[in-house]
Amino acid sequence: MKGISHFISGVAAASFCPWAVQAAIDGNPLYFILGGACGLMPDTVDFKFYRFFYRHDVYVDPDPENLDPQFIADEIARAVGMAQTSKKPIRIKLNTLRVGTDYWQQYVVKFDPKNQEVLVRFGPVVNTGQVPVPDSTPKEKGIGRAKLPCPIIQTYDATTRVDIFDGPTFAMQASGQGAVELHFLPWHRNWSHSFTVGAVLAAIGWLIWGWQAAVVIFAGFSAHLLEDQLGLMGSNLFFPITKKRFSGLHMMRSGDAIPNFGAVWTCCLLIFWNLYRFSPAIPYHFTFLRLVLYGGVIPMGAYGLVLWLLNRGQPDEKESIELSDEFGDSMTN
Amino acid sequence: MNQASLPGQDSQPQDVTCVECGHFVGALTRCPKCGAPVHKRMSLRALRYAAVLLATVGLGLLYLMVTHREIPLVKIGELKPTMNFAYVRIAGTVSSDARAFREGGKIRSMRFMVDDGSGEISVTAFRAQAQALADADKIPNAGDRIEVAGSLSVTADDDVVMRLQVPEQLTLTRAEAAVTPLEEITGAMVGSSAVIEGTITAVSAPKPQTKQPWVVKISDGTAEKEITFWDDIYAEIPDKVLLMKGTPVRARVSVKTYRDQLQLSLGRANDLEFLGTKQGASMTAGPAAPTVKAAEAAIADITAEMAGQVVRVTGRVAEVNPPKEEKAPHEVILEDGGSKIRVVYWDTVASRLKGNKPMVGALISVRGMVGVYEGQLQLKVNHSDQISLVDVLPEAKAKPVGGTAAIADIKKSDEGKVFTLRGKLGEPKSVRGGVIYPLTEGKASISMVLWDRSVPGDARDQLTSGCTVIVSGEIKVFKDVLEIVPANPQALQMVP
Amino acid sequence: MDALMVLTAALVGTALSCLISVLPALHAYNILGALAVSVYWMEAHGINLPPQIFLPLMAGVIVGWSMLNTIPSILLGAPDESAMFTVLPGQKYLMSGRGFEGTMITGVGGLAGVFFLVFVVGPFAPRFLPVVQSVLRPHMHWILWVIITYILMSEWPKGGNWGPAGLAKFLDAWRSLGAGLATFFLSAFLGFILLYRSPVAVEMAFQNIMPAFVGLFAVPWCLVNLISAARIPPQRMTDSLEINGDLVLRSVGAGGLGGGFAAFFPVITGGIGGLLAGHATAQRNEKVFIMSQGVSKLVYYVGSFMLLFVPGLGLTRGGAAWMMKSVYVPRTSYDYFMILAAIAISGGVSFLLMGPLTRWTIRFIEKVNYRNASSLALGIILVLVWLMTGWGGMAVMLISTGIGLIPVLFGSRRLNCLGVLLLPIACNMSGFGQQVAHWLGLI
Repeated sequence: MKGISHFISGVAAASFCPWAVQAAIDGNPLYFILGGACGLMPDTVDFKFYRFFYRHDVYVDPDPENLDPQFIADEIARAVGMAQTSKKPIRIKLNTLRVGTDYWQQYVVKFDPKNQEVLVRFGPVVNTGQVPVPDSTPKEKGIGRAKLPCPIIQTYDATTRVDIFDGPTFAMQASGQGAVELHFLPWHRNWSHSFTVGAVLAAIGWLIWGWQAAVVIFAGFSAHLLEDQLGLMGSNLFFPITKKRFSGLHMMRSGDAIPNFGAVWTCCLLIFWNLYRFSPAIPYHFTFLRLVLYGGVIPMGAYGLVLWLLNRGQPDEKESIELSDEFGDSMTN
Repeated sequence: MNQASLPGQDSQPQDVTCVECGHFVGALTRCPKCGAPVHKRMSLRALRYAAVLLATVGLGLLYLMVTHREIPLVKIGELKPTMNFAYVRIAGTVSSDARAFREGGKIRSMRFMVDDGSGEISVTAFRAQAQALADADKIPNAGDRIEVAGSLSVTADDDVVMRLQVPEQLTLTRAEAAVTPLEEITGAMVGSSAVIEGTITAVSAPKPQTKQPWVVKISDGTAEKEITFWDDIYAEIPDKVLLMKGTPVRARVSVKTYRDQLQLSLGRANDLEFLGTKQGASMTAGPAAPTVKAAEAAIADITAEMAGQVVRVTGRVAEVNPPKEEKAPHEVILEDGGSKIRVVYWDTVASRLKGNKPMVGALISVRGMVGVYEGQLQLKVNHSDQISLVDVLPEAKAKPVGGTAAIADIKKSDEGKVFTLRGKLGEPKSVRGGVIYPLTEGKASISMVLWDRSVPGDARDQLTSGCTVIVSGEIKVFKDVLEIVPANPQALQMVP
Repeated sequence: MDALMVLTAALVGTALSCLISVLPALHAYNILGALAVSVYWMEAHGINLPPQIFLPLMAGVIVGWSMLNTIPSILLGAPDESAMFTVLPGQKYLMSGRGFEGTMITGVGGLAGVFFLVFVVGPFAPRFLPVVQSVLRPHMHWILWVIITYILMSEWPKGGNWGPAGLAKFLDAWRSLGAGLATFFLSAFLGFILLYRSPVAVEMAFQNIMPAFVGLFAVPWCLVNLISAARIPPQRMTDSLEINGDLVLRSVGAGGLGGGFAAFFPVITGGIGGLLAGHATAQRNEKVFIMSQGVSKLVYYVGSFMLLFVPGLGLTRGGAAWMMKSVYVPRTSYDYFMILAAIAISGGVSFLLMGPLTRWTIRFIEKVNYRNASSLALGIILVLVWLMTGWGGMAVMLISTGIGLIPVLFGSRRLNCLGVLLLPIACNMSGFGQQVAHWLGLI
């Protein structure tokens, strides 16, 4: 999920603690700050600290002046071979290609386990919002194709787009049956996304602020971990007892708009409800069902109805954008 | 696709790309790909340096400038709506007594008016600031000279209010108020304050569990009037033992009416001052009052000539008599060494005694003022903390009472008896389950054994070597050594 | 007669907003401040303007400015990528020759915002907002703290994308984050100074914060334009914006949420509301993003002004409401419906003016260098600040400019400049602002 969803989930978790609400009424914002901060903490640790110290073995740095998909494919295949022969995990970083303040040359990497090969194709130039610049795809560059020295086991998407900001990392690890297992963004959602780390943070919070803070810290942190299980990647929940990331439930992608907004809005309603029920002497009275009706069902229902009315008979533009990034038949032709 | 063909890129200057490798660098000063420095034009470099300098050095200089500047002094009459949010000082006279709004025993807010000759403004303090003013005895009274700084708030109703931010920024010079003779306090003065002087002619305490106020009648020779105040004010009066008939007082009161009757209301404990009594300066009264020594005396030594003195006596309760009629006091007869004395206190004291409630046979310590009533010596007690239980004898396990004695007189044959001794503590010695203090009186000494189960650690915290205590307990002999063992914390009392 | 006065005043206000809107870096609050001073002056001289005149006039200025200020903010300035780390969405359109399209899309967003305020918020606000306010009132302080926390935590490093792992990569990434944190805390420190020991003359204390905002946002914009080496490419005028109801609805959803949140909560500005709503709604479509910016801006400025009029609520939010409250306190439903009418009239008229004004501005920038326009704007700002707040205000403006340039030139969020209000007021609302000021030696 996006950062704001995790953050507000942490705040919502704190709002279930009566002492947090009472302290807030008394002018102390600590527990809510802790809840929100710890809700965002796992990703903060990964994206703002850990990844800069995560060592790579192979850096793929395409030349923007000389776009060569074959070079990229060969490097990836080489990394797979290194993993197979050395039996050690090999980490490969695919760097992005910045061509303007707001422009990035996109390329797409696809692993084909059936044919035991990797394919690379340069896509359009996209802006930071990942919206393609029209007529910017360098079609003449073709598809780079490299044979992999051994079978591979995918743990994430078959196709990876490399475009904005920091490029992705793959960890390649020999599996013991002659294959190499591919892990996407191995530095992410590992030790930092475990209940163990949450417990350690909670213990530190206990020492500084007391057990109430520890509960809030652990609740906020755990909310993040549980939300992450809804996606594809999952996380290593019981580090160091467990060594690998659990697979997620594949119910959503982290950037999907509706689940994110749904989570944010639901958390806002829950926070409002908790503030209401734990606060004394509020002159208005309403039930939880009424809050859900007026705060959720009616406005969202009205919005959805109007959206449906406006979109009746219109082709789905969103799908066409995503499909254009898929290899599909054009890759094999 | 070359960069120039991207939308808007052909309008960009040349220094967006690295001259060494051609990689896009944008606003960076070093190429992230090859590490080569990227030269930026002078105007951009100058702007960057200027930004950092202004933001740091500039801000620091601004800070120094404002902190070395006086808060502007303004005239109230010159305040304009455009001064909303201004932080200013005003100087003038307090034109009305401060009104404090309390909640849960704490001051929630306080408001008073200030007039500087050009106009009048309301000054408000909230919560912590208001409480700090009260704690520092800086609650303004009408007539006081004041200088105060705060932030201004101007609304459309032309309501100009100053909000006090820091209690230290309120400076008060108390006004020397002239004393108003009681006969001159009339209905025309309702709503204002007055300073009065007189002698107390009567004190009426409120009945328990009622919301009645205290009523103190005073007379100055010109008239007699009543001062009223509530229990919370009474609790804060220092030397409240002086609050009795015959005590000269000075008070600052608000003139009000209640049921068409003029009422003089005491707003704060500090507004009541006892005049001209030496004892008044050294009285103890109430838990918050400064502690002063009261003379220790034996019951047998108290005489009528000591009337007006405050003494402390210790003795056994021989009788406890409830009030005979509505306004009569409670009566306790204390006995010590064959001598008796009457101790009197009223319902307001009785209702607060709790664990110190006198019981027949209990050893209690009483601090009170010696008086004579209807030919009989008595000790008058005005506050519940003037009575403390020293020892309680459970009826079921009555031990032979040896009474008060000198340590030198205790013998092994007194084993099993309960005595009350007085002495000075020596260095403690820890033993398993407790601590032993040597108790010395002159050259005689006995071991005072304090077991954890009887006198726990926190009850012993105030005991120090060299302090004098009165202890009541059973005499025991252990390994040929005499010991006195109190049964509970109440059986041990430090002597100030 | 009342209706005619309201209509006329709203139109005059809208016309006035046209004048100030086309000048970049001028804010409606500057003009409203001058208007408030004029009303005080008139009252002092016995001239009492009825509320049917100055209320719709003020509404007209705010609505018109919220709508029309998009024009100079998009068209009058070419982002120089050798100096700036971020290109704003409207600027992307300008540099693609689609400035007219980008401006008009934002204008459509503004109009949609007017519809949202008048037909959705207007009828339901008196019923629901008092309930929301009664629950949230004692919690405003921690909501502010939580937003501060999110703003600081959610800024992502701009560097550290290339090179081997290690300290150098980490420091490269944290350069922009460090600039962001420095911006926030420096502006917060400035905010404390302005709150407790402002160098602005006490006679104009109600404009204490104005020179700071001008310095943090407007002056850096002008300066960066002045040194910009980029050119504005030729602009195309299109007859169709290629938008549909779905885009408008999604923009209203995102922008209404962000602008509404900012309008309701104290100290939170439209930029913060837009950031939060943008993250929450995760809109990817660029047109939706631009349009929602228009919705958010209008709902924030106009909505916060409107909250003062909601019967049973009477919330004072935003500079306009604070300035107006010192002149007039609305109390009745009459005032509420009058202001809704003024908003509707002004919204419609200012949208109709968008097209012609945008075309005029494009012709203007084809003939006149945008740097000259920025110089003129800078001159006007300097004069205005000096007239309103004197040399004390000028000093504040100068220092704020330094702080405001940091995010632009060192790659962090401009939003961090809002620390000037966020941190001091959050401390005050939690009850320890005076203590912090005491520690800083300010009081």
